[in-house]
Amino acid sequence: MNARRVAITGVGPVSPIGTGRAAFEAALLAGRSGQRTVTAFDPSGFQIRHGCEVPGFEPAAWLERLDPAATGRGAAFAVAAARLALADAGLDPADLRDEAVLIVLGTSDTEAQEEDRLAAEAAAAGPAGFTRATAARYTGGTAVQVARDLALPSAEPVDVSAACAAGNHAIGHGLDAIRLGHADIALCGGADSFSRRMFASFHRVGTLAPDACRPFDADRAGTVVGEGAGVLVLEALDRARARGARIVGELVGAAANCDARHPVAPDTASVAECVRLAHLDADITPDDVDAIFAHGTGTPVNDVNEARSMRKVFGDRLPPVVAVKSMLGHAMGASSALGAIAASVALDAQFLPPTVNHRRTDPECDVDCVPGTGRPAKLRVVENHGFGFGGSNAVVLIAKAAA
Amino acid sequence: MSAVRIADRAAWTADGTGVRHGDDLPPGGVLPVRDFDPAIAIGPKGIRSMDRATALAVATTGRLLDRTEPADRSRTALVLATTAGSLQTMLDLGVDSLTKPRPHQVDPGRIPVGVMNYAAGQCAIRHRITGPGVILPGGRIAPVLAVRFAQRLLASGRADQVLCGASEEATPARAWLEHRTRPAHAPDVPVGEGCAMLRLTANSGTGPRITAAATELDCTGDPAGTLATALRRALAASGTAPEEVRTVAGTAALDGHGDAERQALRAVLGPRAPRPRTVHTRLGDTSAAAVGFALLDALDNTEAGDAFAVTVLDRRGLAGCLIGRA
Repeated sequence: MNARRVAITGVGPVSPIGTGRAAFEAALLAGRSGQRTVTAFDPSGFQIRHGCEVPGFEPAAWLERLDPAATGRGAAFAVAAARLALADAGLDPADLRDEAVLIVLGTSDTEAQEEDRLAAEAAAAGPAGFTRATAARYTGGTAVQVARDLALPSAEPVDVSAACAAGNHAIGHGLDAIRLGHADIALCGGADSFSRRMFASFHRVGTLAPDACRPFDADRAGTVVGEGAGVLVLEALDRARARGARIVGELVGAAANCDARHPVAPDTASVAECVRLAHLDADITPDDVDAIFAHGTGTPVNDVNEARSMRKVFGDRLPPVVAVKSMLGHAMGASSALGAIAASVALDAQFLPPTVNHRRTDPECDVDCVPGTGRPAKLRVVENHGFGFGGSNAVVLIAKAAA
Repeated sequence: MSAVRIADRAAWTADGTGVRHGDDLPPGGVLPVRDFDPAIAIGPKGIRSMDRATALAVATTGRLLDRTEPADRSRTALVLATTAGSLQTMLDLGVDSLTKPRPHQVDPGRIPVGVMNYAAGQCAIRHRITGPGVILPGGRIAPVLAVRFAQRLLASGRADQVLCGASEEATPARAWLEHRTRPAHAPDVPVGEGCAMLRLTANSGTGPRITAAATELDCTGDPAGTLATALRRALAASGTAPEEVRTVAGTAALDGHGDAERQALRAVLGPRAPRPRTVHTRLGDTSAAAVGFALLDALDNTEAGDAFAVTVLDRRGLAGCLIGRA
């Protein structure tokens, strides 16, 4: 296939450690943690009470056309991330009115905080207690609200649910749409809000870290629930060059597959196959990859499985493996989108962010996770992982654009 | 987009009778698929916590795969539309967290079921589908977007076939969600359920196909004009002249936009535009699956080779259409 090459020309992170590229980059490379006491709901009955929420987020500061009171937190995150990404790309939403635009955003379970509200209403009065306002916010959609707020009526607004791999699925779909010439611009990534149901579920099955998220650590004991949004601006490389855009990186490949084995337990061979498929799509070999932005949840099961999968592909030449969830927590459907932004930022800065909270690498994992402190690195190709419940795997590859 | 071939199709649908009313249901009641028993349709193993929307999807996917030539399941993809997966399961977890003595005392067996892409994972596990699998949670419009998504997977060479459809369950939680989001001027039809699915392949040979899909968002308070824009764009993309469209399957009446739909059809297809078929009057409001059932109805009622259109105008003002040939 003589496909168009695809540039990343802007990134918009809304995260517990920083909103907007500059704030996010500074915190990421410095290794700051976004962990705080949960405020989305009263956590007092839970043994574990911390999470990674986006602090001080004001929807009204970002929404130009949507009513903040009628918009879910996830959709508001997505609008903010899209606006930030477009500004980073040097594009005004009004410039896109005559372009073919795809907006594709990953989510785990759509408007999670509105679902919590529905549950509170149902706990009081059964589902008949649902209010119209909550039901409308819950079903408002994410991409379609971004389209409305940016006044892009002809944009194709797609929400993708693929658990914690959703962001990478969305980015991969954006890649295909640009390659095929279906879209001139793709705004892709993911968004999810902090939810009680997710928190309670992880708590129940013992996958929440009692103190901190420590990916690849011998004493890792779980993950930390997070939230946020990440949007990347994709466009054809020749078009980006023609308009003189600053090219953050080139999206050179993507792949997705499914374990088809177990609803929650990951499968080593299938994850490895997904990575191989992504390499094939990008026409690179494992030796070309200079760093991996791991799914790296900090749960005992994920990290050892991910490490084994990487060994299957990379053998003993495994590049550094960074787990940004140690700082960001696990933002569910937004997590791999934020991972892709972190990878893009690292590539652009030629600097690897650290895996924080790390004390002692698990010999079963045996990765160089850049523990504690970030470091300069020569990066040409970086790989970003996203794996989720349902055996959903998605991998994207980002390369430094040739000068 | 280039066309995709509808290599096969399958569905589990209500027979149109047996509307259930109850104190726990909204005024329109629910219309279940009465003959669907998950234990019989997919077997008794591992279904204790499984939601009905997933069971319907697993059964329908199985029908499609069972009657085709063995295909490479790693080159088979799944794109399934929904409104909210099993909202009932999610809510049961959420309510337990609020009402049990301790807030983490939720049913661990239902936790994976409450993740929205559970249906995709179960279809994959039970049929060993290892290609890409996603759920598109867009409600009514989602099958239009799902066809586009599927077409890109095929055109990009990521899959040889895509199982593409929609599934919904008639639970009290979903019935009330539909009721509370229904516009005041939309009819109080029963909330239905079912699964409609296509096996899509790259376009080759003859036979039924989808030739274009388009959406347009109403930002000016003009639903008819918005749907007309989507229709014109899809017709142009598919190279179909307006007067070629022989059958229209509409769904907009479910969202209180029946008049706008007819107006848009007249504006684009001319005064002799076909009257939209409304299979939903028999099946109830099947949310994301409504477009799937409308598409199957259009295929069943269009002469081979003739063009058809399926139209949507949802509650959020998002219009969409599929254009195809039977």
